Amino acid sequence: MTRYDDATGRYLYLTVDNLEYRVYVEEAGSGPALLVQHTAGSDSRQWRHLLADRSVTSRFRVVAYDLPQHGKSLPALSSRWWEEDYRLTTDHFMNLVIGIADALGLDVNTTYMGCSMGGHLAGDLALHYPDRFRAVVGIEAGIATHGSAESLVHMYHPRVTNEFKAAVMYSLTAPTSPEDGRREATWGYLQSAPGTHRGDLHYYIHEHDLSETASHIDTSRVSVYLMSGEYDWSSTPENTRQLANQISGSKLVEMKGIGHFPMVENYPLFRRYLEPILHELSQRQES
Amino acid sequence: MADNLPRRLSFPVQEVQESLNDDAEFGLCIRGMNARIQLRTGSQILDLRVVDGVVTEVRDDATGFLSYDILLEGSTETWLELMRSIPVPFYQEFWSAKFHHGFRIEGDLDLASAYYSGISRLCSILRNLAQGDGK
Repeated sequence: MTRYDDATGRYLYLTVDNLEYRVYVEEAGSGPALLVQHTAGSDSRQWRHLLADRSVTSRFRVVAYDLPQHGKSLPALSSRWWEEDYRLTTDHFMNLVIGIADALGLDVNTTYMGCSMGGHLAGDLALHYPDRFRAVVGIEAGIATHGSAESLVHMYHPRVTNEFKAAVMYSLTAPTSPEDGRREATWGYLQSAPGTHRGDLHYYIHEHDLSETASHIDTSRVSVYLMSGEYDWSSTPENTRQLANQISGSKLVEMKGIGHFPMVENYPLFRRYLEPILHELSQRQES
Repeated sequence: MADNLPRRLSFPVQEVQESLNDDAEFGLCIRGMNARIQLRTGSQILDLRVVDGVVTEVRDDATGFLSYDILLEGSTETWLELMRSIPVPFYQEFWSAKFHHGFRIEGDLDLASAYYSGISRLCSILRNLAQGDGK
C-alpha cells in the first residue's frame, strides 16, 4: 500500500506588477487559511512538516507556495530573466504574496506566516496592508538586518558554489537541533538558482527597515505574532525584541534551543512554541 | 566552569591530521583544494597544508612564520566557547562567531568561501577532538 503525503500541489498563473508568473502551490487541511512563506533562497519544502501535521491541518488550510524564481516556480514568464540581476524589492514581494492570496481566493480571515525574509515581510504586510490578513506571524522577523554589499559578494560568485550558502545556513541552525533537521534546512540552498538567494537578500538586508514605522502598525486591525530562535545570529532575538517593543499589542515568542529555520531544523520543538498562537487564532475564529 | 567546556585546547597535530583525513564529509567538502590554513587559538598556532583535497601536513611549531591562504583566528576565550560540546549562541560555528564575537576568517576570501563547507566541518571535527570525542 503506497503511503502518500497529505500535501497536494498544482500551478497557478497570475500577473503581478505587469509580469506573468506560473507559481507552484501546495496545501493540506481545511479551515481558515494559513499562508506560509519560505526563507530567502529556499522554497516551500521548508513547510513539509507543517503540511503533514494533522493537528494543524485539522484546524487550518495550510497553503505553501514557491515564490517566483524559487523551487518549482520559474522566473517571470514574460521577462528576459537571463539578462537581469534579480533583486527582490519590498513592494514586489508584498504584491506577489497578496497576488497569490488573491488568486487562491483566500479571504481576510487568512493568517500569513513567514520565516526570515518571510518573517520580515510579516511586519511590512501588517504596516502596508493591515486589512488583508487577520493576523501575521513573523518567524525570525526583525526590525532591520542591514549589512554591507561586500558581505553578499560570495553569495553570487562564479567561483563559489551553493555549498557556501548551505554551510552558512547550517551555521544559523542550533547545535541542539537534530542533525537531519539541520541538514534538511540546507538542502534547498544547495539546489536554488545561483543568483536567487543574493537577490532575495536585497530585500532582507537593504530594503526591509521598520525602525521608523513599526510603531504605526495597528494590531487592532491585524494581529502580530513574532517568534525568534535563540541561535539565530542573523535576525537575532534582540532584533526581534526591538520589533516587538515597537509594535503595541504584538506578541513575542522566544524559542530556546532553536535557530533560524525552526520549522525545518526541529519541527517538534517549533510546534510546541507555535501551538499557543494557533490556539489563539482558532479561538478567535470560533468566536 | 561549565561542564561542557573542552577538556583541552591544544590539538595534537597527528590527531588533527588523521581526524580530518578520516572524515568522509570533510573529504567531500575540500575536494580539489590546495591551500594553507592557519588556525590561531590564542594558545596554539596550527598550520594545515592541503594538497589536492588531502591534508598532507599539520604543524604547530612554525610559531606564526608560515604564510597562509586562510586564517582562522580567535582569542582563547572565543575558542573555548566554540569548542563547547553545546556552544551557547552565537558560538555554534566560526561564521556566527565572526559576526558576533570577533572571530577572524581572513586571507583569500574567494578560496575560503569556495571551501567554506570544509571550514565549517573543520570546526565540528576540532570540537569533537577538544571534547575528547575524536579519534
